[in-house]
Amino acid sequence: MKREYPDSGTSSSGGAAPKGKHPASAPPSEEDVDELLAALGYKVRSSDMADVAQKLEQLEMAMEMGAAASTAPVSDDMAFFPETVHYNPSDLSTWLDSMLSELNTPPPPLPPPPMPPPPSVPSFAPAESSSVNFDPNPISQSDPSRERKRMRTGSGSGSCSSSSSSSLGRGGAGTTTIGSESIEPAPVATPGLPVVVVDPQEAGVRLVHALLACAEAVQQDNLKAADALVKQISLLASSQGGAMRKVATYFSEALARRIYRLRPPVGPISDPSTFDSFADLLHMHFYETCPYLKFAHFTANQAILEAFAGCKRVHVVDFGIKQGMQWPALLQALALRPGGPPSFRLTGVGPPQPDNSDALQQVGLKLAQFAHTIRVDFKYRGLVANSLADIEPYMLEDESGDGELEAVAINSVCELHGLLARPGELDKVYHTVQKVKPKIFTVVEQEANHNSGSFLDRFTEALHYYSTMFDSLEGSNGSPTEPPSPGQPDHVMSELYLGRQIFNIVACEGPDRTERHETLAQWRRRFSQAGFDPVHLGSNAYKQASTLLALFAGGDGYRVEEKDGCLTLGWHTRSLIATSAWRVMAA
Amino acid sequence: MKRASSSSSSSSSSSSKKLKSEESPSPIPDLTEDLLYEVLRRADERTLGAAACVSSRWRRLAQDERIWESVCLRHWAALGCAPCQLRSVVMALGGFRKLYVSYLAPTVPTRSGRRRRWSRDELQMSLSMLSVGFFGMMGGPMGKFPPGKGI
Repeated sequence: MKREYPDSGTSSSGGAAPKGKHPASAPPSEEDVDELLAALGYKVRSSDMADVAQKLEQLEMAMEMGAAASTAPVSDDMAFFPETVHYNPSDLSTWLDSMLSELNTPPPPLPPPPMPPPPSVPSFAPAESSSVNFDPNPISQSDPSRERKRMRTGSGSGSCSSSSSSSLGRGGAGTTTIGSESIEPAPVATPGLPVVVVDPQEAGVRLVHALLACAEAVQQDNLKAADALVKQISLLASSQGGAMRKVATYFSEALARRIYRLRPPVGPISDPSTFDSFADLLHMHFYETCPYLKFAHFTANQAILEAFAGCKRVHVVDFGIKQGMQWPALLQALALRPGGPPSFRLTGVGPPQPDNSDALQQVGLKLAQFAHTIRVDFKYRGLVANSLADIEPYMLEDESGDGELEAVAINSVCELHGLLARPGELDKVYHTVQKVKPKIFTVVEQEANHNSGSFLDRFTEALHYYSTMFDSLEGSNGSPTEPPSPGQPDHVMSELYLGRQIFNIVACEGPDRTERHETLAQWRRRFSQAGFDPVHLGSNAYKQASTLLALFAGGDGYRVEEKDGCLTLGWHTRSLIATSAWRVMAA
Repeated sequence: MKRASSSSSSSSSSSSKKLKSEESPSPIPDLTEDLLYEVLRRADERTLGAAACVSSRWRRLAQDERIWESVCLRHWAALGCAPCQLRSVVMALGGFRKLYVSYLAPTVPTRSGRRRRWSRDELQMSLSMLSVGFFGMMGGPMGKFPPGKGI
C-alpha cells in the first residue's frame, strides 16, 4: 500500500488506502492516532477510522457526481486552486468534513490535496478543450459524459497513470515552460515527485502542434526529432481526456510505427484489409454503435429499391459482403412491395479467408434462411477475390438464362478506395461495371481526402477527420434506451476499428496503404470521366436517413445533408460519409 | 387465479388499469375470453402493458399478436402494401408486439398520452430495424449478435 501510493497518484486508489487499511489496521486502541496512517503523514484517530472511511467514500461519490455538474470556466478553477493550501490534510477527518460540505454546494471537485494532483485534475476544467478541432465547436451536451469518463480513466488504469506520472517526473524538470498555470506541488506531497498541472486547453493546442510537428519531421525524414516529438505527444496526450486523448494515442502510435518502420503491417491490428473474424467483429461493433454504416446501408437500399421498381428478376452484386448486414432490410422492403417480391439473386464478393473457412457461403446460407422466412425467392453466389479488379463480367452473368432479363444493382460500401492503392485497378472495375450494365451502382465512401501525395497533408486531414469521428462516438449514446457509458466495450471496439484505419493511413505506404479515402467531389470526377451519370437519391432516401438519426436520441450532432443528389452524414459541420448512385452513361 | 371485474364490461378505456387498484369486494361476473379480447383490442399500449401483468390469462390475451397488429396499424398513416402481406412478413420476423416494443416505442416521446401517427418512413425504418435485428439473432457465422437495444 505504501509503496504504490506515490506511484498511482489517482484519487480513488489514494482513497482506497485508508479504507483498505482499516480492516487490517490495529483494533481501536487507547492511542489517539493511528500509527500506520501517521507514518504516511495523516493524523487520524483510531476511533474515527470508520467515520473517516465512510467520508472518503462519500467524497469519492460526490466527486463522481460533482464532475457531471461541473461547468465552471477555466478561470474559476484557477481561483479554487489557491484554496487547497488552506486545508490541512493531515487532519484527515476535519479535512474530509470541509471537503464534503464544500461539495454539497457545487464547485468543481478537487482531488484530496495530500496526493500530488493526478494528471486528471486539469480535466475537471470544462470539456470544450478536450476536442481540439480546427473550427472549435463547443460540444457542450457531451460535457457530462466526458467528465464522468475522465473520472473513470483517472481512477481506473493503474498502469497507464504510473507511466504518465513517471513521465511527468521527466517533464517536471522543464515545468516552467509549460505555461503560467502550473502550480507549486502541494505541501504534503511526497518529496521528490514534482507536480505539473497543465491547463488542458493549452495542452490540447500543444498536443496538436506536437502531432503536426512530428508529422512534418517524418516527412522531412528527420527521424530523431520525430522520435522526440512522439514521446512528447504521449506526455501531452495523457493530460487530455476523452476523444482527444484517444485520437492522439492512435496517431502517435501510428507515427511511431512509421518512424520505426514497423511495416508492412502484420496481424489483424494493423491491416484493415484482411477480413478475418476479428476484423468482422470490429466491423459489427462499429455498425452497432454509430449510425454511419446504417446510414450507408439504408440510403443505398432505398436507391436500389427505387431502381428495381417494376422488375421481376433482380440481381444485386455486393462488392464487400462481409456479414451481409445490408441485405435483410432490402429483402424485407422487397417482400412488402405492392405486387409482391421479385425473385432475388445476390452475388457476394469477399476476400479469401486466412483460415480457409468458407465465410462467404455461411453468409449466403444465413441470408437464404432469412429470405425463406419472409418468402422471397432467393439465390446466392459467393465470389472469392483478392481484389475487385479480378472480377470479370462473366462471373456476374445469370447462368439460369431464363427468358426475362434481370435488373442488376452493384453496391460498394467503402470498397472502392482500396483500389486506388494499385494503379489501374479502379479502371478495370469501372470497365467491368460498364460491361454488366447495372440499373444502378450505389457507392458509399468516407468523405475525406486521405490520399494526397504529401504525407503532412494526409496526416492533417486524417487528424481532423478522425477527431470528428471520435467526437461523434463520444457524443452519441449508441441507442436511445441505453444510458451513456463510454467505458462500454462497444465503444472500444469501434475505436479500434477506426484506429486500424489510422494506422494504415499514417504508417503505411504504397500498395499496403489501402485506406485511400477521397472526397465526394473527387469521386464525382472519377465517375464522370469513367462514363457514369449521377442518379439523384430521392427524397425518400433523405427521409429515411433523417428518421434513422431521429432514432439515435443521443446523436444530436449528426447531420444529414443533400449535395447535388448525393447524401452525406456528418457530425456538426463536418461531413464524414457520403452515399452516391451512378448509372452507365447512355451511349 | 382469475380476476375479472365488472368495470371491464363498461367502457374500453377504463379497462385493466383500474382493475388492479380498485378491486371491488363483491363477486364479479367472469368475462369470457371473447369479451376480454374485444376490450383489450381497443386499449392503448400502456394499458395493454398493464393488463399483461394482471394474470397469466390476461397476459396471454394482452400479448395477442392481433391486438398488437392493430396497435401498430392504427398509428400508421399509410400502409403502402396489402395488410396480409405486411402481416406475413412481420409475423415471420418476430411479430407486431416485438416491432412495437423494440422499434416503434422508442420513437414515441415519453409520457405523451396522445397517439401520434407514424409516418411511412418511420414505419419503413422500424421494419428495417426489425429485419436487421432478426438477422442478427439468427444462428450463423457470428452466432447470436443481438443489436443494440432499440436499434
